[in-house]
Amino acid sequence: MGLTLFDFYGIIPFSEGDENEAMSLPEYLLSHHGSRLWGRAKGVEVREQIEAILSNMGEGEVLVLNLKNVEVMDFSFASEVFGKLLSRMPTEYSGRYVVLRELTEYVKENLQAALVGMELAVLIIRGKKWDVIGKFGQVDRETLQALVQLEVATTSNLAKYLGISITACSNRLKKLHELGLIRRERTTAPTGGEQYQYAWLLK
Amino acid sequence: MSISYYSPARVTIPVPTRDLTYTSFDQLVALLSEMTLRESQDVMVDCSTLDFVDPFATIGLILLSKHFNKQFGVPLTFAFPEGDVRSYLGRASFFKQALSCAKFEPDIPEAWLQLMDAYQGSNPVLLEVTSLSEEAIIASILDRVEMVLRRRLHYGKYDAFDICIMLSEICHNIFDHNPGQATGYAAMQLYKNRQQGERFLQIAVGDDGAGIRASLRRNPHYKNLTSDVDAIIKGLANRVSEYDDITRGNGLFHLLNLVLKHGGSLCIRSGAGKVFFRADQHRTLVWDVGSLDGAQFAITFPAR
Repeated sequence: MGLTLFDFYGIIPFSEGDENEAMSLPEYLLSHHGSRLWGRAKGVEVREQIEAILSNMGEGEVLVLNLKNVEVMDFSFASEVFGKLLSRMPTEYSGRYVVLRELTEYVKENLQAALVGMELAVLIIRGKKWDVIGKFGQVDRETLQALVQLEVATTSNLAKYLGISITACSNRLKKLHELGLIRRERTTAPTGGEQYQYAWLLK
Repeated sequence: MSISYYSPARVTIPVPTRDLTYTSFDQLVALLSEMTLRESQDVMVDCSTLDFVDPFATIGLILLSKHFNKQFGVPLTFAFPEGDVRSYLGRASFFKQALSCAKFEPDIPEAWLQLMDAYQGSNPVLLEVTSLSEEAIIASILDRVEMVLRRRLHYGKYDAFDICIMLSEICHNIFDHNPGQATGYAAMQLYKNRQQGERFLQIAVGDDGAGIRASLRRNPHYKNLTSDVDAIIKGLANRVSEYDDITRGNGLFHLLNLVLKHGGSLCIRSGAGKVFFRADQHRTLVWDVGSLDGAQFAITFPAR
């Protein structure tokens, strides 16, 4: 897979012009339920289908929730689907990830407001660009951008890259991992001990 | 306001104001909530002096009838003489929805009701009082409201969506917090302020469920809530709900934000409390009012 980065900000490291790379990830199309998604009851129906897919996915796999043709959703639907799902990911679907794609600006704005209120965040992709919506500060963004550049890094690699202490870097990576934005894998350090290795979700 | 006793069998209460709106409706509720009835007495609300009823009060009259029926075991009787208000309420489906819980003088002829039914959907600026008897109806109401806003009132797509989100949140709350135990009503009307000539759009939703305070008190954190006004204000905060769950309790919070974003006002009445927010005045007004089951909302916007 080519890993050309066009820009420091918001570029998914898929090969140039090959948007189908993103399509090769398993996708769930929310517009199967309509272009207007109203209410918690419908949210429960959608979330249960998504959770059934996640339950059958393997460690490290990414599920794309495609919002193409979804024009509007209310906050109850957003909370039931994205709020519940994202808050359950670290415990119930550990090692599996969700990203969103094809959000309109309007849906993105409302989902941003909903996720901030719940202190959650999610990775969104549009073509080759990525962004994170929800409760996601500038420091979090800098850390994620650095990991996107390095693709894979240990805490000490990334701390050196960012010019910060290992403790600070470890805290930042832990938060990104808990938000389901980066992968974490236990590896053997050159000294023989165990260490965590972090990777960009869409590597 | 005096209450007249025309006969031992009937108590007549004149509607205390000429306009029955989300601001004046409480005066009528207060009169009725102060009443004590003797056996075999009934109550007639004399609406002959009324010359305007907004969607909030239209729904309110239905809920007031249900409340009264539950409290005294007899239906309320409304006197609506022939005229503009009776015609308007007919077209707004008020009589159709209220017939099961109220009586009318003069009687509402079946043929007239059918004629009014035939008008349904023909007024470009009116959503007739619609019963939310099941959750599935909400999506069709939202489709209708979106169509009215976009095609007939020429609202932009996203302004119409914002309004539909607000309506959706309140309508779905009825089912989320009163499963199988409440009936709700929704209505919408564009009207002109007679003093200033400005056009307003009002959306009203009301139900006869447990109300905001009872709903919040199911959560042990809020079990000591004793005031309906406090419950309404608490319910508007983010993540305050009957459930201890970070994904619950944000509907009213976002509703208020959208109302403020669009420069509108929000009136919430629940139990014996009423709270009013107005975006352009940056202030909150609260009242203790006569008690009524459930929760009722009026969202008013300057119309495009």
